[in-house]
Amino acid sequence: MSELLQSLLTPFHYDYMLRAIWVSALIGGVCGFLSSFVTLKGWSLMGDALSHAVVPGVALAYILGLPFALGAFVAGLLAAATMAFIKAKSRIREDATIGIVFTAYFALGLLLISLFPARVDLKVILLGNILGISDPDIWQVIAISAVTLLVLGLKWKDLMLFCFDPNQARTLGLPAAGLHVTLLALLAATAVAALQAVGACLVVAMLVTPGATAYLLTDRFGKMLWLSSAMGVATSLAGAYASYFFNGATGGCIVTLQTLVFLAAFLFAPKHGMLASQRRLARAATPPAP
Amino acid sequence: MTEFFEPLQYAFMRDALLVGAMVAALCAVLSCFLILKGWSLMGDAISHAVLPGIVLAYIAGLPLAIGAFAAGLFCAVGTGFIKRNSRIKEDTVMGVVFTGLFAFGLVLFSRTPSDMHLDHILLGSILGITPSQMWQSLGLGGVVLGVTLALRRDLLLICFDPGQARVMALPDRFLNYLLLGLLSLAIVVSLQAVGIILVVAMLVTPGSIAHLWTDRFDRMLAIAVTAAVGSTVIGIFTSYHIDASTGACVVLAQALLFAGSLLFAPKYGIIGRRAQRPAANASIR
Repeated sequence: MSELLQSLLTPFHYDYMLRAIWVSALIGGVCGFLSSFVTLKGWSLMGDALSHAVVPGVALAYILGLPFALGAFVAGLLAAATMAFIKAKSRIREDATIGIVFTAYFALGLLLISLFPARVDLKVILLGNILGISDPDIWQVIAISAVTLLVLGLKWKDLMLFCFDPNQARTLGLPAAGLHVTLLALLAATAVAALQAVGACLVVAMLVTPGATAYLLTDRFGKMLWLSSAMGVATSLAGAYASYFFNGATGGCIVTLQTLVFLAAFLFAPKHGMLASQRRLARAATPPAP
Repeated sequence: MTEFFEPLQYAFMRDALLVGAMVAALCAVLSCFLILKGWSLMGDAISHAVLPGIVLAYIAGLPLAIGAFAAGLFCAVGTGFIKRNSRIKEDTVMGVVFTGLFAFGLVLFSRTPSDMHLDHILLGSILGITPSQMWQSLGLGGVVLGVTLALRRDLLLICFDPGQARVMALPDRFLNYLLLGLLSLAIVVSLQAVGIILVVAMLVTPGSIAHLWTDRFDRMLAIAVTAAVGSTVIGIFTSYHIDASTGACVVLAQALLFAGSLLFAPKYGIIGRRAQRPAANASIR
């Protein structure tokens, strides 16, 4: 028994594990917070697209020796602008536009990396490397998280209204275009932070799954916000810890956990779960006893 | 000029060009349907979701293609199931399901000792294709391409006008699943060439290019296939000469072609439309 306990506690003996666990939790919390907005707005695929589109920015930043967050952020915003431009100027549907633009940006990143293989490790970008995160990178994550939480904390009511009902927001005199850009910028920034933890392929899960899970559990947005943040923190803590036993597949562990929590909510959520609605249907179908 | 065609003397380059052209044609044909149906990102979702299937098939000693196909279909069916039984929007469900499967695949992979390279699954390695893989791609690709083209009228109708298809007593549920199955198979065939991440470009960009040039479906198919095969050949040659990632060069060639079409396509391009507008105003006056 004590041996099992001993082996379960080993991850905590390593500095790099402790660091990975708390940084993951921070990223998970911020992404979880934002994911409520993303789910409401229906921007799930935007999250996916931005997380891939930042890759050329990351590659260029590493090649030029700049902070990676800066390059990634600029590339993300450029990609969003390209999408908006194509959507406004052509008959191509929005989802196809997103697909074309993000793959093109990603391919550009890949091209840069294949031309300068020594400077950047592709695997780190694709799958994240939170176990080996460097101090400057941790500071970048902290800065991004602080700014994101500050903006969300100050503006969450406006952003909520904008996500729910943009027309109403405009009628009330809120700057809809400004809010749109703010949300996009926050999305790009958190995608950059999450890239460190789980890599480009899985960022979208951090930005969608907690919000979707919370949406199944409550009808109140305030509650949804803290539920999704709490879920982001808890799954990231547990996932980073578990990755010690899975050869460092931190992203895989975190996102697998999140998906399991989502599935549990999908089945068992008290009001909007599948079992609850089936029970409701069955009750409606059987006539009340005399 | 002879210098440009120098790579043709290597067998691996000839194989790569052959498989690349096959994959490009197959994906281009499917992309025309996906664009019209609004399923562009279904390709993205299924391509990521095949990862656990590949790893499980490897563990079980089965052909990897079977595992990939099963996992791709599982993703599509699972997305539909969760969407029908909850209040979450389809694109969100898709994001949750495919990332969940991909993450599960990563965890499985991390616990499986193997000689597989994750990079090759994610990004493809068309230059390292073995003869047996090549014949598998060509054979399977040919079958999928044949079925898609043979049923193109029916598939087109369920993409354009599902209501009309039902009125005409077409088996629309079956056709939807057939399209999903063909898509999964196409992704399996393409994995070797371009990998999980970039296959979505092959499944979206050619159809979009063609959509900018024409309103007629048969012409759209022809343009998409030409654009895709052309940019694949150019991409493979370029990657040889500048010593860069093949998948990236192919996708960038397609993207440049799309950008050109966006500007210069006669009817739906930006410059083309601008040229039409003054003419239309003049005729009103």
